Amino acid sequence: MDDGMIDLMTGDAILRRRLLTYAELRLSPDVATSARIRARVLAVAHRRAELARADAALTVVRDAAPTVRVVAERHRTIRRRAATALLVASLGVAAAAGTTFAAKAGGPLYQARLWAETITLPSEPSRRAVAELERLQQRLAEASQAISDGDLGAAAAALTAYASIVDSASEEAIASGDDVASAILTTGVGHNIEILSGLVSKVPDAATDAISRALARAIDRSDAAIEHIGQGGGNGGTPPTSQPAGGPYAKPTKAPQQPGGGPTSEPTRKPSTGPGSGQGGGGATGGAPDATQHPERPDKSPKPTPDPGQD
Amino acid sequence: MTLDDAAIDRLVKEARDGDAWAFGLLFDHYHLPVYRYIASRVHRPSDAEDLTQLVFVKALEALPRYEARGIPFGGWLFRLARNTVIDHVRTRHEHADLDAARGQIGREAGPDEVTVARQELDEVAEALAELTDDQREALALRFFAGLSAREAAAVMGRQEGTIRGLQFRAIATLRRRLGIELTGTADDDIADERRRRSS
Repeated sequence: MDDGMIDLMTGDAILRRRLLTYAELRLSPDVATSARIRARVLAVAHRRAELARADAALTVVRDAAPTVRVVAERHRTIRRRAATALLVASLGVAAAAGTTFAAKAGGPLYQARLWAETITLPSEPSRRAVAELERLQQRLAEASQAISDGDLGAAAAALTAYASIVDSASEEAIASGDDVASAILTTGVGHNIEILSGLVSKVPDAATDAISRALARAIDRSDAAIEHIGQGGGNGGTPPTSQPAGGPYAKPTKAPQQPGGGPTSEPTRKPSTGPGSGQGGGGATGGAPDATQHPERPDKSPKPTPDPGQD
Repeated sequence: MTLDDAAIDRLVKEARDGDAWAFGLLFDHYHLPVYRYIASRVHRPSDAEDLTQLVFVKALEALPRYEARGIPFGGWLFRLARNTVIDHVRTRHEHADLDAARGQIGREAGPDEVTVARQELDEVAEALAELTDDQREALALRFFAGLSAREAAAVMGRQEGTIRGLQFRAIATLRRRLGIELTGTADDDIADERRRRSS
Protein backbone atom coordinates (compact mmCIF):
# COMPACT_ATOMS: atom_id res chain seq x y z
CA MET A 1 0.00 0.00 0.00
CA ASP A 2 2.86 2.39 -0.56
CA ASP A 3 4.26 4.38 -3.37
CA GLY A 4 5.89 1.26 -4.65
CA MET A 5 2.99 0.67 -6.95
CA ILE A 6 3.63 3.95 -8.72
CA ASP A 7 6.15 2.23 -10.89
CA LEU A 8 3.83 -0.66 -11.52
CA MET A 9 2.34 0.48 -14.75
CA THR A 10 4.78 3.16 -15.71
CA GLY A 11 4.61 4.03 -19.36
CA ASP A 12 1.28 2.42 -19.94
CA ALA A 13 -1.63 4.61 -18.98
CA ILE A 14 -4.12 2.75 -21.12
CA LEU A 15 -3.31 -0.65 -19.68
CA ARG A 16 -3.38 0.74 -16.18
CA ARG A 17 -6.78 2.32 -16.76
CA ARG A 18 -8.20 -0.87 -18.19
CA LEU A 19 -6.95 -2.94 -15.29
CA LEU A 20 -8.31 -0.41 -12.82
CA THR A 21 -11.71 -0.50 -14.50
CA TYR A 22 -11.59 -4.28 -14.48
CA ALA A 23 -10.74 -4.35 -10.78
CA GLU A 24 -13.48 -1.92 -9.89
CA LEU A 25 -16.23 -3.54 -11.93
CA ARG A 26 -15.34 -7.21 -11.84
CA LEU A 27 -13.35 -7.74 -8.67
CA SER A 28 -14.97 -5.43 -6.16
CA PRO A 29 -17.73 -6.39 -3.75
CA ASP A 30 -20.96 -4.45 -3.88
CA VAL A 31 -22.22 -2.62 -0.83
CA ALA A 32 -24.45 -5.46 0.29
CA THR A 33 -21.65 -8.01 0.01
CA SER A 34 -19.27 -5.86 2.02
CA ALA A 35 -21.93 -5.31 4.63
CA ARG A 36 -22.68 -9.02 4.86
CA ILE A 37 -19.04 -9.96 5.30
CA ARG A 38 -18.50 -7.21 7.84
CA ALA A 39 -21.50 -8.17 9.92
CA ARG A 40 -20.50 -11.83 10.02
CA VAL A 41 -16.89 -11.12 10.86
CA LEU A 42 -17.81 -8.64 13.55
CA ALA A 43 -20.38 -10.98 15.03
CA VAL A 44 -17.55 -13.46 15.51
CA ALA A 45 -15.29 -10.71 16.87
CA HIS A 46 -17.88 -9.61 19.42
CA ARG A 47 -18.52 -13.18 20.44
CA ARG A 48 -14.83 -13.85 20.95
CA ALA A 49 -14.36 -10.63 22.86
CA GLU A 50 -17.18 -11.48 25.16
CA LEU A 51 -15.93 -15.00 25.72
CA ALA A 52 -12.48 -13.64 26.51
CA ARG A 53 -13.94 -11.27 29.07
CA ALA A 54 -16.02 -14.04 30.57
CA ASP A 55 -12.98 -16.31 30.82
CA ALA A 56 -11.01 -13.57 32.51
CA ALA A 57 -13.74 -13.19 35.09
CA LEU A 58 -13.60 -16.79 36.08
CA THR A 59 -11.67 -17.63 39.21
CA VAL A 60 -9.92 -20.91 39.31
CA VAL A 61 -10.09 -22.53 42.68
CA ARG A 62 -7.61 -25.26 43.15
CA ASP A 63 -8.32 -28.25 45.31
CA ALA A 64 -6.33 -28.58 48.42
CA ALA A 65 -3.41 -30.89 48.04
CA PRO A 66 -4.50 -34.46 48.69
CA THR A 67 -3.38 -35.98 51.89
CA VAL A 68 -1.45 -39.19 51.94
CA ARG A 69 -3.69 -42.21 51.72
CA VAL A 70 -3.23 -45.90 51.91
CA VAL A 71 -2.96 -47.33 48.40
CA ALA A 72 -5.36 -50.20 48.98
CA GLU A 73 -8.01 -47.92 50.38
CA ARG A 74 -7.67 -45.67 47.36
CA HIS A 75 -8.15 -48.57 44.98
CA ARG A 76 -11.27 -49.70 46.81
CA THR A 77 -12.65 -46.21 46.65
CA ILE A 78 -11.94 -45.97 42.94
CA ARG A 79 -13.67 -49.28 42.27
CA ARG A 80 -16.70 -48.23 44.31
CA ARG A 81 -16.92 -44.94 42.49
CA ALA A 82 -16.54 -46.58 39.11
CA ALA A 83 -19.38 -48.98 39.86
CA THR A 84 -21.58 -46.15 41.09
CA ALA A 85 -20.76 -44.04 38.07
CA LEU A 86 -21.57 -46.94 35.76
CA LEU A 87 -24.93 -47.44 37.44
CA VAL A 88 -25.77 -43.77 37.31
CA ALA A 89 -24.68 -43.56 33.70
CA SER A 90 -26.87 -46.51 32.75
CA LEU A 91 -29.87 -44.98 34.44
CA GLY A 92 -29.04 -41.64 32.87
CA VAL A 93 -28.87 -43.07 29.38
CA ALA A 94 -32.20 -44.83 29.84
CA ALA A 95 -33.82 -41.67 31.18
CA ALA A 96 -32.27 -39.54 28.49
CA ALA A 97 -33.48 -41.88 25.78
CA GLY A 98 -37.02 -41.68 27.11
CA THR A 99 -36.82 -37.93 27.54
CA THR A 100 -35.37 -37.44 24.11
CA PHE A 101 -38.17 -39.45 22.59
CA ALA A 102 -40.76 -37.47 24.50
CA ALA A 103 -39.07 -34.17 23.63
CA LYS A 104 -39.10 -34.83 19.90
CA ALA A 105 -41.07 -32.44 17.75
CA GLY A 106 -44.73 -33.06 18.49
CA GLY A 107 -43.88 -35.12 21.57
CA PRO A 108 -45.38 -34.42 25.00
CA LEU A 109 -42.22 -32.70 26.24
CA TYR A 110 -41.58 -30.69 23.08
CA GLN A 111 -43.03 -27.47 24.44
CA ALA A 112 -41.05 -27.90 27.63
CA ARG A 113 -37.90 -28.34 25.59
CA LEU A 114 -38.61 -25.20 23.61
CA TRP A 115 -39.12 -23.31 26.81
CA ALA A 116 -35.91 -24.74 28.27
CA GLU A 117 -34.01 -23.48 25.23
CA THR A 118 -35.08 -19.94 25.97
CA ILE A 119 -33.58 -20.12 29.45
CA THR A 120 -30.10 -20.58 28.10
CA LEU A 121 -30.29 -17.81 25.50
CA PRO A 122 -27.49 -15.29 25.94
CA SER A 123 -28.44 -11.79 26.94
CA GLU A 124 -26.04 -9.96 24.65
CA PRO A 125 -28.02 -9.10 21.49
CA SER A 126 -25.68 -10.37 18.77
CA ARG A 127 -24.98 -13.63 20.58
CA ARG A 128 -28.67 -13.98 21.26
CA ALA A 129 -29.43 -13.49 17.57
CA VAL A 130 -26.92 -16.20 16.71
CA ALA A 131 -28.48 -18.52 19.30
CA GLU A 132 -31.99 -17.79 18.03
CA LEU A 133 -30.85 -18.56 14.49
CA GLU A 134 -29.47 -21.86 15.72
CA ARG A 135 -32.85 -22.60 17.30
CA LEU A 136 -34.58 -21.75 14.03
CA GLN A 137 -32.23 -24.03 12.15
CA GLN A 138 -32.98 -26.82 14.62
CA ARG A 139 -36.69 -26.37 13.97
CA LEU A 140 -36.06 -26.53 10.23
CA ALA A 141 -34.02 -29.68 10.68
CA GLU A 142 -36.80 -31.22 12.78
CA ALA A 143 -39.42 -30.26 10.20
CA SER A 144 -37.33 -31.63 7.36
CA GLN A 145 -36.71 -34.91 9.21
CA ALA A 146 -40.37 -35.23 10.16
CA ILE A 147 -41.49 -34.66 6.57
CA SER A 148 -39.01 -37.28 5.37
CA ASP A 149 -40.32 -39.69 8.01
CA GLY A 150 -43.92 -38.93 7.10
CA ASP A 151 -44.56 -37.71 10.64
CA LEU A 152 -46.82 -34.82 9.79
CA GLY A 153 -47.73 -33.97 13.36
CA ALA A 154 -44.08 -33.50 14.23
CA ALA A 155 -43.50 -31.41 11.11
CA ALA A 156 -46.43 -29.15 11.94
CA ALA A 157 -45.22 -28.77 15.53
CA ALA A 158 -41.70 -27.85 14.40
CA LEU A 159 -42.99 -25.34 11.86
CA THR A 160 -45.33 -23.76 14.37
CA ALA A 161 -42.44 -23.46 16.80
CA TYR A 162 -40.34 -21.93 14.01
CA ALA A 163 -42.96 -19.26 13.33
CA SER A 164 -43.18 -18.44 17.00
CA ILE A 165 -39.41 -18.19 17.43
CA VAL A 166 -38.90 -16.02 14.36
CA ASP A 167 -41.52 -13.60 15.70
CA SER A 168 -39.95 -13.30 19.11
CA ALA A 169 -36.41 -13.16 17.75
CA SER A 170 -37.20 -10.28 15.41
CA GLU A 171 -38.91 -8.38 18.22
CA GLU A 172 -35.90 -8.91 20.45
CA ALA A 173 -33.46 -7.80 17.77
CA ILE A 174 -35.43 -4.62 17.16
CA ALA A 175 -35.83 -3.92 20.84
CA SER A 176 -32.13 -4.40 21.48
CA GLY A 177 -31.17 -1.72 18.98
CA ASP A 178 -28.13 -3.80 18.10
CA ASP A 179 -26.99 -3.42 14.50
CA VAL A 180 -25.12 -6.69 14.35
CA ALA A 181 -28.01 -8.66 15.85
CA SER A 182 -30.41 -7.25 13.27
CA ALA A 183 -28.01 -8.02 10.45
CA ILE A 184 -27.40 -11.56 11.65
CA LEU A 185 -31.09 -12.26 11.95
CA THR A 186 -32.00 -10.69 8.62
CA THR A 187 -29.53 -12.71 6.62
CA GLY A 188 -30.09 -15.91 8.57
CA VAL A 189 -33.86 -15.77 8.24
CA GLY A 190 -33.48 -14.91 4.55
CA HIS A 191 -31.50 -18.10 4.13
CA ASN A 192 -34.13 -20.02 6.10
CA ILE A 193 -36.77 -18.91 3.62
CA GLU A 194 -34.83 -20.65 0.89
CA ILE A 195 -34.77 -23.83 2.97
CA LEU A 196 -38.48 -23.57 3.73
CA SER A 197 -39.24 -23.07 0.05
CA GLY A 198 -37.23 -26.17 -0.70
CA LEU A 199 -39.20 -28.15 1.90
CA VAL A 200 -42.46 -27.39 0.11
CA SER A 201 -41.53 -29.71 -2.70
CA LYS A 202 -40.79 -32.53 -0.27
CA VAL A 203 -44.23 -32.61 1.30
CA PRO A 204 -45.97 -35.89 0.50
CA ASP A 205 -49.09 -35.55 -1.63
CA ALA A 206 -51.27 -37.13 1.00
CA ALA A 207 -50.65 -34.35 3.44
CA THR A 208 -50.19 -31.25 1.43
CA ASP A 209 -52.81 -29.09 3.04
CA ALA A 210 -51.82 -29.00 6.68
CA ILE A 211 -48.09 -29.03 6.17
CA SER A 212 -48.09 -26.66 3.24
CA ARG A 213 -50.12 -24.22 5.25
CA ALA A 214 -47.65 -24.51 8.09
CA LEU A 215 -44.76 -24.02 5.68
CA ALA A 216 -46.43 -21.03 4.05
CA ARG A 217 -47.08 -19.57 7.49
CA ALA A 218 -43.43 -20.06 8.49
CA ILE A 219 -42.28 -18.37 5.28
CA ASP A 220 -44.71 -15.51 5.76
CA ARG A 221 -43.51 -14.99 9.30
CA SER A 222 -39.91 -15.02 8.11
CA ASP A 223 -40.72 -12.46 5.43
CA ALA A 224 -42.54 -10.35 7.97
CA ALA A 225 -39.64 -10.54 10.41
CA ILE A 226 -37.19 -9.35 7.78
CA GLU A 227 -39.46 -6.50 6.76
CA HIS A 228 -40.12 -5.64 10.37
CA ILE A 229 -36.43 -5.37 11.14
CA GLY A 230 -35.91 -3.46 7.93
CA GLN A 231 -38.59 -0.89 8.67
CA GLY A 232 -38.64 -0.30 12.37
CA GLY A 233 -36.01 -2.12 13.34
CA GLY A 234 -33.31 -0.50 11.61
CA ASN A 235 -32.11 0.32 15.06
CA GLY A 236 -31.14 3.73 13.96
CA GLY A 237 -28.92 2.31 11.27
CA THR A 238 -29.19 3.19 7.63
CA PRO A 239 -29.75 0.65 4.91
CA PRO A 240 -27.17 0.51 2.16
CA THR A 241 -27.84 3.41 -0.12
CA SER A 242 -27.35 1.43 -3.28
CA GLN A 243 -29.94 -1.10 -2.31
CA PRO A 244 -33.60 -0.92 -3.19
CA ALA A 245 -36.05 -0.06 -0.46
CA GLY A 246 -36.36 -2.88 1.92
CA GLY A 247 -32.84 -3.98 1.36
CA PRO A 248 -31.40 -6.76 -0.71
CA TYR A 249 -32.75 -9.42 1.57
CA ALA A 250 -36.14 -7.93 2.20
CA LYS A 251 -37.73 -10.56 0.00
CA PRO A 252 -35.20 -13.25 -0.70
CA THR A 253 -37.70 -15.64 -2.16
CA LYS A 254 -41.39 -15.70 -2.67
CA ALA A 255 -43.47 -17.73 -0.29
CA PRO A 256 -45.19 -20.59 -1.97
CA GLN A 257 -48.82 -19.71 -2.34
CA GLN A 258 -50.07 -23.05 -3.56
CA PRO A 259 -49.86 -26.02 -1.28
CA GLY A 260 -47.52 -28.55 -2.63
CA GLY A 261 -46.04 -26.13 -5.09
CA GLY A 262 -42.32 -25.74 -5.44
CA PRO A 263 -40.33 -22.66 -4.75
CA THR A 264 -41.24 -19.90 -7.09
CA SER A 265 -37.95 -18.17 -7.35
CA GLU A 266 -34.31 -18.89 -7.35
CA PRO A 267 -32.44 -18.60 -4.09
CA THR A 268 -30.94 -15.18 -3.81
CA ARG A 269 -27.49 -16.38 -2.98
CA LYS A 270 -25.49 -19.40 -2.12
CA PRO A 271 -25.64 -20.24 1.55
CA SER A 272 -22.43 -19.21 3.21
CA THR A 273 -20.04 -21.94 4.08
CA GLY A 274 -17.70 -19.81 6.11
CA PRO A 275 -17.13 -20.22 9.77
CA GLY A 276 -19.29 -17.29 10.57
CA SER A 277 -22.21 -19.04 9.08
CA GLY A 278 -21.54 -21.98 11.25
CA GLN A 279 -22.35 -19.80 14.16
CA GLY A 280 -25.45 -18.45 12.72
CA GLY A 281 -24.37 -17.06 9.44
CA GLY A 282 -25.59 -13.59 9.96
CA GLY A 283 -24.96 -10.67 7.76
CA ALA A 284 -25.73 -7.05 7.36
CA THR A 285 -28.37 -6.65 4.78
CA GLY A 286 -31.71 -5.31 4.12
CA GLY A 287 -33.02 -3.06 6.74
CA ALA A 288 -30.04 -3.78 8.81
CA PRO A 289 -27.77 -0.86 9.16
CA ASP A 290 -25.18 -0.22 6.56
CA ALA A 291 -22.26 -1.98 8.05
CA THR A 292 -19.91 -0.25 5.72
CA GLN A 293 -20.64 3.03 7.36
CA HIS A 294 -18.84 3.61 10.57
CA PRO A 295 -19.90 6.43 12.76
CA GLU A 296 -17.66 7.61 15.52
CA ARG A 297 -17.29 5.14 18.26
CA PRO A 298 -19.93 6.04 20.84
CA ASP A 299 -18.17 5.06 23.99
CA LYS A 300 -14.89 3.47 23.07
CA SER A 301 -16.55 0.23 22.08
CA PRO A 302 -19.99 -1.28 21.98
CA LYS A 303 -18.89 -4.01 24.31
CA PRO A 304 -21.72 -6.21 25.39
CA THR A 305 -22.28 -7.07 28.99
CA PRO A 306 -20.22 -10.06 30.06
CA ASP A 307 -22.38 -13.07 30.49
CA PRO A 308 -20.16 -15.81 31.81
CA GLY A 309 -22.92 -18.15 32.63
CA GLN A 310 -24.22 -18.42 29.13
CA ASP A 311 -21.39 -20.15 27.41
CA MET B 1 -10.50 4.53 4.76
CA THR B 2 -6.91 5.60 5.22
CA LEU B 3 -4.80 4.49 8.13
CA ASP B 4 -1.10 5.05 8.59
CA ASP B 5 1.23 2.36 9.88
CA ALA B 6 1.17 3.65 13.44
CA ALA B 7 -2.62 3.64 13.51
CA ILE B 8 -2.68 0.13 12.12
CA ASP B 9 -0.22 -1.06 14.77
CA ARG B 10 -2.33 0.51 17.48
CA LEU B 11 -5.52 -1.07 16.12
CA VAL B 12 -3.81 -4.44 15.85
CA LYS B 13 -2.77 -4.22 19.48
CA GLU B 14 -6.27 -3.24 20.59
CA ALA B 15 -7.84 -5.96 18.48
CA ARG B 16 -5.41 -8.48 19.95
CA ASP B 17 -6.60 -7.39 23.37
CA GLY B 18 -10.13 -8.32 22.37
CA ASP B 19 -11.41 -5.00 21.08
CA ALA B 20 -13.95 -5.87 18.38
CA TRP B 21 -14.33 -2.24 17.36
CA ALA B 22 -10.64 -2.00 16.54
CA PHE B 23 -10.86 -5.15 14.49
CA GLY B 24 -13.80 -3.63 12.64
CA LEU B 25 -11.62 -0.71 11.59
CA LEU B 26 -8.92 -3.08 10.40
CA PHE B 27 -11.56 -4.91 8.41
CA ASP B 28 -12.70 -1.65 6.85
CA HIS B 29 -9.15 -0.82 5.85
CA TYR B 30 -8.23 -4.17 4.33
CA HIS B 31 -11.39 -5.85 3.15
CA LEU B 32 -11.48 -4.34 -0.34
CA PRO B 33 -7.92 -5.28 -1.36
CA VAL B 34 -8.30 -8.70 0.22
CA TYR B 35 -11.58 -9.27 -1.58
CA ARG B 36 -10.10 -8.11 -4.89
CA TYR B 37 -7.11 -10.38 -4.51
CA ILE B 38 -9.33 -13.36 -3.70
CA ALA B 39 -11.84 -12.53 -6.43
CA SER B 40 -9.01 -12.49 -8.94
CA ARG B 41 -8.02 -16.01 -7.87
CA VAL B 42 -11.32 -17.90 -7.59
CA HIS B 43 -14.20 -18.56 -9.92
CA ARG B 44 -17.30 -17.26 -8.29
CA PRO B 45 -18.17 -14.06 -6.43
CA SER B 46 -19.87 -16.19 -3.76
CA ASP B 47 -16.56 -17.98 -3.17
CA ALA B 48 -14.78 -14.65 -2.94
CA GLU B 49 -17.30 -13.54 -0.34
CA ASP B 50 -16.99 -16.68 1.73
CA LEU B 51 -13.20 -16.77 1.51
CA THR B 52 -12.86 -13.10 2.42
CA GLN B 53 -14.96 -13.75 5.49
CA LEU B 54 -12.88 -16.80 6.29
CA VAL B 55 -9.63 -14.83 6.01
CA PHE B 56 -10.78 -12.25 8.52
CA VAL B 57 -12.14 -14.84 10.91
CA LYS B 58 -8.82 -16.70 10.67
CA ALA B 59 -7.04 -13.42 11.30
CA LEU B 60 -9.20 -12.88 14.35
CA GLU B 61 -8.30 -16.28 15.69
CA ALA B 62 -4.61 -15.98 14.91
CA LEU B 63 -4.25 -12.41 16.09
CA PRO B 64 -3.16 -13.32 19.63
CA ARG B 65 -0.20 -15.14 18.08
CA TYR B 66 0.65 -12.37 15.62
CA GLU B 67 3.91 -10.57 16.18
CA ALA B 68 5.21 -8.02 13.73
CA ARG B 69 8.75 -9.45 13.43
CA GLY B 70 9.38 -7.39 10.34
CA ILE B 71 6.19 -8.49 8.63
CA PRO B 72 3.61 -5.74 8.62
CA PHE B 73 0.05 -6.65 9.46
CA GLY B 74 -1.03 -6.21 5.83
CA GLY B 75 1.55 -8.69 4.61
CA TRP B 76 0.56 -11.15 7.32
CA LEU B 77 -3.10 -10.79 6.38
CA PHE B 78 -2.42 -11.36 2.69
CA ARG B 79 -0.39 -14.42 3.55
CA LEU B 80 -3.46 -15.74 5.32
CA ALA B 81 -5.52 -14.84 2.26
CA ARG B 82 -3.10 -16.60 -0.06
CA ASN B 83 -3.06 -19.75 2.07
CA THR B 84 -6.84 -19.68 2.30
CA VAL B 85 -7.14 -19.51 -1.48
CA ILE B 86 -4.64 -22.35 -1.87
CA ASP B 87 -6.59 -24.48 0.62
CA HIS B 88 -9.80 -23.67 -1.19
CA VAL B 89 -8.36 -24.75 -4.52
CA ARG B 90 -7.02 -27.96 -3.03
CA THR B 91 -10.26 -28.76 -1.26
CA ARG B 92 -12.44 -28.10 -4.25
CA HIS B 93 -10.04 -29.85 -6.60
CA GLU B 94 -10.33 -26.90 -8.88
CA HIS B 95 -7.67 -25.34 -10.97
CA ALA B 96 -8.68 -21.90 -9.90
CA ASP B 97 -5.38 -20.36 -10.84
CA LEU B 98 -5.71 -21.29 -14.46
CA ASP B 99 -9.34 -20.45 -14.70
CA ALA B 100 -9.55 -17.56 -12.30
CA ALA B 101 -9.76 -14.87 -14.87
CA ARG B 102 -11.84 -16.96 -17.23
CA GLY B 103 -14.35 -17.35 -14.43
CA GLN B 104 -15.07 -13.69 -14.72
CA ILE B 105 -15.70 -13.88 -18.43
CA GLY B 106 -19.29 -13.78 -19.54
CA ARG B 107 -20.50 -12.86 -16.09
CA GLU B 108 -23.84 -11.08 -15.91
CA ALA B 109 -23.16 -7.41 -16.47
CA GLY B 110 -24.00 -5.13 -13.57
CA PRO B 111 -25.54 -1.72 -14.00
CA ASP B 112 -22.13 -0.09 -13.69
CA GLU B 113 -20.99 -1.95 -16.72
CA VAL B 114 -23.61 -0.39 -18.91
CA THR B 115 -21.39 2.58 -19.51
CA VAL B 116 -18.32 0.48 -20.05
CA ALA B 117 -18.00 -1.75 -23.03
CA ARG B 118 -18.43 -5.19 -21.59
CA GLN B 119 -16.28 -6.51 -24.34
CA GLU B 120 -13.33 -4.56 -22.99
CA LEU B 121 -13.69 -6.20 -19.61
CA ASP B 122 -13.94 -9.62 -21.18
CA GLU B 123 -10.81 -8.93 -23.17
CA VAL B 124 -8.92 -8.05 -20.00
CA ALA B 125 -10.19 -11.24 -18.35
CA GLU B 126 -9.07 -13.31 -21.31
CA ALA B 127 -5.68 -11.62 -21.33
CA LEU B 128 -5.25 -12.28 -17.60
CA ALA B 129 -6.10 -15.92 -18.21
CA GLU B 130 -3.10 -16.21 -20.49
CA LEU B 131 -0.64 -15.25 -17.78
CA THR B 132 1.19 -17.87 -15.76
CA ASP B 133 -0.03 -18.52 -12.23
CA ASP B 134 2.88 -16.63 -10.72
CA GLN B 135 2.51 -13.69 -13.06
CA ARG B 136 -1.19 -13.43 -12.36
CA GLU B 137 -0.66 -13.66 -8.62
CA ALA B 138 2.07 -11.04 -8.67
CA LEU B 139 -0.14 -8.75 -10.71
CA ALA B 140 -3.12 -9.35 -8.41
CA LEU B 141 -1.09 -8.55 -5.31
CA ARG B 142 0.59 -5.54 -6.82
CA PHE B 143 -2.25 -4.03 -8.75
CA PHE B 144 -5.59 -5.34 -7.53
CA ALA B 145 -4.56 -5.46 -3.87
CA GLY B 146 -2.19 -2.50 -4.07
CA LEU B 147 0.77 -4.08 -2.27
CA SER B 148 4.30 -2.88 -2.79
CA ALA B 149 6.80 -5.17 -4.49
CA ARG B 150 8.37 -5.88 -1.10
CA GLU B 151 5.02 -6.79 0.47
CA ALA B 152 4.05 -8.92 -2.51
CA ALA B 153 7.40 -10.68 -2.29
CA ALA B 154 6.82 -11.41 1.39
CA VAL B 155 3.36 -12.78 0.69
CA MET B 156 4.55 -15.02 -2.14
CA GLY B 157 7.76 -16.00 -0.37
CA ARG B 158 9.92 -14.71 -3.23
CA GLN B 159 12.61 -12.13 -3.74
CA GLU B 160 11.52 -8.62 -4.51
CA GLY B 161 13.39 -8.74 -7.81
CA THR B 162 11.52 -11.87 -8.78
CA ILE B 163 8.22 -10.12 -8.22
CA ARG B 164 9.30 -7.20 -10.37
CA GLY B 165 10.32 -9.61 -13.11
CA LEU B 166 7.00 -11.45 -12.96
CA GLN B 167 5.19 -8.16 -13.05
CA PHE B 168 7.22 -6.90 -16.01
CA ARG B 169 6.52 -10.01 -18.05
CA ALA B 170 2.85 -9.98 -17.06
CA ILE B 171 2.46 -6.41 -18.25
CA ALA B 172 4.26 -7.15 -21.49
CA THR B 173 1.93 -10.10 -22.12
CA LEU B 174 -1.16 -8.08 -21.33
CA ARG B 175 -0.03 -5.24 -23.53
CA ARG B 176 0.60 -7.58 -26.41
CA ARG B 177 -2.63 -9.50 -25.89
CA LEU B 178 -4.72 -6.35 -25.66
CA GLY B 179 -2.97 -4.65 -28.53
CA ILE B 180 -1.89 -1.73 -26.40
CA GLU B 181 1.12 0.31 -27.36
CA LEU B 182 3.08 2.40 -24.94
CA THR B 183 1.58 5.82 -24.42
CA GLY B 184 2.99 8.80 -22.56
CA THR B 185 6.27 9.00 -20.75
CA ALA B 186 7.21 7.51 -17.46
CA ASP B 187 7.20 10.94 -15.88
CA ASP B 188 3.69 11.63 -17.14
CA ASP B 189 2.48 8.41 -15.69
CA ILE B 190 4.12 8.91 -12.34
CA ALA B 191 2.55 12.33 -12.08
CA ASP B 192 -0.78 10.90 -13.15
CA GLU B 193 -0.52 8.13 -10.58
CA ARG B 194 0.36 10.57 -7.82
CA ARG B 195 -2.61 12.77 -8.76
CA ARG B 196 -4.90 9.77 -8.69
CA ARG B 197 -3.63 8.61 -5.32
CA SER B 198 -3.80 12.03 -3.74
CA SER B 199 -7.37 12.53 -4.91
